[in-house]
Amino acid sequence: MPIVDYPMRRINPEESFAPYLTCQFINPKTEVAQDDIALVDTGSSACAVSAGFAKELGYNIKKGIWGRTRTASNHVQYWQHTFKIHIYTMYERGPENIFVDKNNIVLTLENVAVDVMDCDTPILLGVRDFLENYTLTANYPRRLFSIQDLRAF
Amino acid sequence: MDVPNNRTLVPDPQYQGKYVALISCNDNTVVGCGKNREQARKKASQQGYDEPFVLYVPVGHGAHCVHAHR
Repeated sequence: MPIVDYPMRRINPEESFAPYLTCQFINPKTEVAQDDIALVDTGSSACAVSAGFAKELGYNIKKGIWGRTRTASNHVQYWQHTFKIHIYTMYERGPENIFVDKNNIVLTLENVAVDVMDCDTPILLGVRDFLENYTLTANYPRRLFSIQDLRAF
Repeated sequence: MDVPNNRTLVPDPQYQGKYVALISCNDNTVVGCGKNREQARKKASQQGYDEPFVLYVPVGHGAHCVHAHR
């Protein structure tokens, strides 16, 4: 599972460069899949997607476990659902050009409890069921990040 | 060959707070936008792109999220 020295990206020019991964999100019940970009977010206690995204995958949103959560700006409602997530391989082809290889999956996350948020949000890959199992290294000066399983070391 | 600049996915600030449809995850040409994913996807489809890469563009520094359970 070598996510090593992946290039940081940003969505809009006002953001700082950050660890984004391009992923395929799958509803295990319907097998419907969608690609999207997801922010690796140490400030997020769980993985999170918007309700609009989950609806496209065929989730019956309000049948999930209900809760309320605090975001950077307010409190929102969420419903928890199980996702499967493939993370695609990604590398730099030039200083400003990133290539995502959709034929090469670097890591698959099974049975991820994802909070489906009742708001517009970039997809977040947070601590529960993801970062809690790995070591995240961020090299901001070089705009590179790594996510590795270093528990044996 | 012209190599696209896609380290910043959506450089144009007019799309902040909207959903955009890009040609693909490796070509960040915007081919649709809207207030939700469906609208962005529909506009891309009208331009002949039936499988666009759709994403939400945060406002300003909006992607710096905190999501904390109570």
